[in-house]
Order: sequence, then structure tokens, then C-alpha cells
Amino acid sequence: MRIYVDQLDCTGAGQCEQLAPDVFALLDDGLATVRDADGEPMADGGAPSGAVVDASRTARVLDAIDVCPGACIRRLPD
Amino acid sequence: MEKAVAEHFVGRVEDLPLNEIHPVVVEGRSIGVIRTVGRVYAIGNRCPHQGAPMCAGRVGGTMAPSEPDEYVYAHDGLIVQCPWHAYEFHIDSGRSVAAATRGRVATYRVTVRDGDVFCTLTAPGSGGTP
Repeated sequence: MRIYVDQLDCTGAGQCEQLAPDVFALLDDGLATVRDADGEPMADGGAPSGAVVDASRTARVLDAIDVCPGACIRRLPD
Repeated sequence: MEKAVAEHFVGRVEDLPLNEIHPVVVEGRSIGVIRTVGRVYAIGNRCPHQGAPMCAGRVGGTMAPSEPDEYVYAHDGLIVQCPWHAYEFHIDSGRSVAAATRGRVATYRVTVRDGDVFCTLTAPGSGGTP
């Protein structure tokens, strides 16, 4: 699974970071993004390429997608 | 450098009800356009608390910090209240009044030219334009 954060709709609630801090990061500007393979926050929320989510993190990422108030975590085709 | 983004016509100023939320869809996104006395603003349609539809909220003011037994109503017409739990947000910045909840309502750039109102999808938004 690959994902990115659509920052146009991000409300900065931070629930994604709380659920999966190893996948998401809340930036100083209040918007969330995804982390790259080195754990560094990606620019533009990770769009358009997205970040790869390995199987061990998938469940928590799916939870984040479900609860995100902004509904702004986008899944990309594998 | 800021990326080039498109403006989207969302209506005429005179057709936007004063201090009410006018729902529009821009590039598939649900947005609320709000005309105040001095400016036009655009907000996202989801509350950072639990994702409530902000376009169903209401525009008004809020109670400012004050001394005991004093009641100070402020920011009239510049606050949007969530329809579900009444959290309040500044319509220019999307920030929560008194930081009552984490996060913000998305805001988008608005431009008015010759009475035509345009919305530009940028993140984060920069508030309204006179």
C-alpha cells in the first residue's frame, strides 16, 4: 500500500500521527505528511508518489484513514 | 517558490448571502464560501474534531475573555461554529477559538475581481481578500 496526505483537506487534527507516528508526522505548519523510507517527513504530504506502507503498519494506517477528520489520507494503487 | 494553481469562479459577490456559508464544490472538494462585511473567505467542509460538515454550521461571533460577571461578545461575523459540538473557528485562519480543539478548519485563498469571486486551492490557505 502507498499513501499520501492531501494537505488541501488536512485539518491538522493529528490523529494519524497518534496512531502511527512511524508513518505520519505533523509538521510545524499544522499539516500532516507521511514519512519516507528513512523516517523523514516528505514534502507536500508525500504527493504525488506517496510513501510505501509495509505490512506491519497497514492495520494502524487503515485505522488512521478511518478516523481522520479531514478524510485526507489517500491510498494509491500498489 | 509557490506552485501555479488555478482560480475557480465560485459566484458573484452580490449572490453570496452575508454572514452565511455558501457551499460550493471546487475540484471535487466541498468548500464553504463566506461573505463578511469586509472580505470573502473560503473554508473546508470538515471539522478537525470529528469531521462534521462545517458548511452546515453558522457564522457569528464568540465570547471573548473577560472579567467575572462581564460578558464580551467579539469577532462578530468572523467565527464559524461547528454544527455538531459547537467548536468555534476563526474563518480567516481556520484556527480553533481559544485552542479548544486540536487542528484547524482548512482555509483557501479567495480573490474578488469586479464582483466575481474566485477560490484558489492552496495549502495552507491565506484567508480572504478585500
